[in-house]
Amino acid sequence: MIEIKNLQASIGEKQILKGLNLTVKPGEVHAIMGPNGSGKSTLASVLAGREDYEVTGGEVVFNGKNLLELAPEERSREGLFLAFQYPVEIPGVSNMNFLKAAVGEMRKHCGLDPLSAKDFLALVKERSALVELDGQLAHRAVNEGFSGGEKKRNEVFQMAMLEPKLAILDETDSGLDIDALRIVAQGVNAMRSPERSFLVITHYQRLLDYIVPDVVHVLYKGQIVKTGPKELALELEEKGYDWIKETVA
Amino acid sequence: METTQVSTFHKWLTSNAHAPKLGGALAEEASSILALRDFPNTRMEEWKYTRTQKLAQGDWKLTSGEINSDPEFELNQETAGTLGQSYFAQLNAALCSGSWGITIPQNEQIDEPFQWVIKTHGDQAWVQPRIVVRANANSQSKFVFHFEGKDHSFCNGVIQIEVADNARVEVDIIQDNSDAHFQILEVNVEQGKNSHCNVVTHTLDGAWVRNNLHMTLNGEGSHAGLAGFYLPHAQQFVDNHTVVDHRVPHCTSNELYKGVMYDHSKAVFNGKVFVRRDAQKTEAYQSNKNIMMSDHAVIDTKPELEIYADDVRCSHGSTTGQFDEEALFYLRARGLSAEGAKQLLVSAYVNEVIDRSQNETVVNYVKQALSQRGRIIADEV
Repeated sequence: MIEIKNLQASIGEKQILKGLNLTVKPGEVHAIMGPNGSGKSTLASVLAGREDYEVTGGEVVFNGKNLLELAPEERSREGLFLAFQYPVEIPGVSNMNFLKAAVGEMRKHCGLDPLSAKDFLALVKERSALVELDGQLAHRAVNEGFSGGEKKRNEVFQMAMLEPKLAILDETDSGLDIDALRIVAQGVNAMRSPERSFLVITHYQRLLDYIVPDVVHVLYKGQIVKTGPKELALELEEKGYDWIKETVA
Repeated sequence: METTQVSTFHKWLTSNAHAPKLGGALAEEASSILALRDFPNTRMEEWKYTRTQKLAQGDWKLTSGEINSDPEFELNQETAGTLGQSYFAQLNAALCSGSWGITIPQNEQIDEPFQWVIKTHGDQAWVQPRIVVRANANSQSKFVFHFEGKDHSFCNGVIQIEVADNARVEVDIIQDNSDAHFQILEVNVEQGKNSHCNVVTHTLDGAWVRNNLHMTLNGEGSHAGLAGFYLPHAQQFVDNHTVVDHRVPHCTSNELYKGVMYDHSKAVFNGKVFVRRDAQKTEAYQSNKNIMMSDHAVIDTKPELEIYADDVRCSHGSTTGQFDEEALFYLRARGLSAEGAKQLLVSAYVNEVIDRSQNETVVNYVKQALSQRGRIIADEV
């Protein structure tokens, strides 16, 4: 699905990713954990194509394509989805119009005819139910005035509409209460399939109680320093990150 | 240069070739004042950012143009209206052949909008429409003035609206002109007690547009709404000069003008709000926002507040900038092209103004027109 080799990236003068290696196969759920400032969100941003970051080395192959050469929209159309840590409020743009445009682009890219208004609405109804998103929210401006929980549910709803091959969840659990966390996780789990992979970036283990990963990685100082089964997350929760730091040092 | 500028219009003012004139006294007064006035130029405060040479140099031929109204009205000399203060309003008074006058009877509520389509077609054509509206007490009415200028032509229009006590008037102005057309439009609104008037100016296209919108609140409890947008591209020029004059207490005004500037276009916004000494408890809000889509576009924006009363709530503000990069990235990360994402953001931005119109037909028409030109993405109806 995605193969990241020796990825190096910096913002301004500061190098953040220092040779990151990671391979995710179809159907797998990988969790990336790590202390603050280890490069978790940078990884998500670089993969999605945020232009603030400069890739200074390494390569990323996504579905056989050189991901780093693609514009953000091309990455999306190829099936990469980033659930934002801080979803952006866009006053005046209705969720529906936005989604219609996004789904339309995706279908065009895949050589499919646009959905009829009826089919589109049916899909919206079905997928918004996955995250228990009030139908009214779909008609409001994108994320405007949404609560923290609604924003994150809206991210997962968009993911469900776009049906990506690889979804990157960037600290989707941050700012969520336990009920919202459960709903978001339930939406993600409903989308799990043998063809779809997930990269779950999180600070805390609790999200992984709901979205159970196949593999857990620890990111520290811009590199993956430890990889293990799902139990590694529990160990991190118990011991904190200090023992990892000591091991690396 | 200045001599040439004066003479183009002066020729008309001094010749008698343009009969029949608007009701004698007003036209003569206008002619005699104009004989002493300088042609507007950039040394005058009101015209500081607006070049008039090309307009002055045009070899304009006065014609009646093609003006259709629904329902139909006859051109007459009786409802002449007032002289106006600006050079071009007076030029209109001096040389127009009559006015379309309409009176909305007291207590009458008319749902169907009155519509004018004002066409100025043909090279060198010069049309001077003059429309004088009186909305009597307790009446409700809607107006649409749709200007269509084609070829290298010039339209110098005047619209005067009197909104009597407790009357409510909604006005939409649509300006859809060619890349060689010049348009000047003077809109004057006088409002009585507890009246409401909302004027939305939709500037779709045109080489050179100058709008003067002047709203005067003469009666307590009245409200004036002003809104407008402009999306000039190529070398287009759009200038909105507005005045809101709060003369009495307990009135409100709300003004929003938004621009999206493409290519080498230029726009001017000059919004004046006067709050006279007696106009206590005034609430006046004004905002002008601009988005620059090109490094070569220019906007001159100048909000002005003159407040002589001490118990008022007023605000004005002007912003000019680029699109929010975060929003652009968010949309692109969902598969929208950079171009498509910008279009969607422009739509949202401009819709805020278009939606201030209370005429649903106009709202849909304008959105469709802009969407066909690739400026915005219209909502599916």
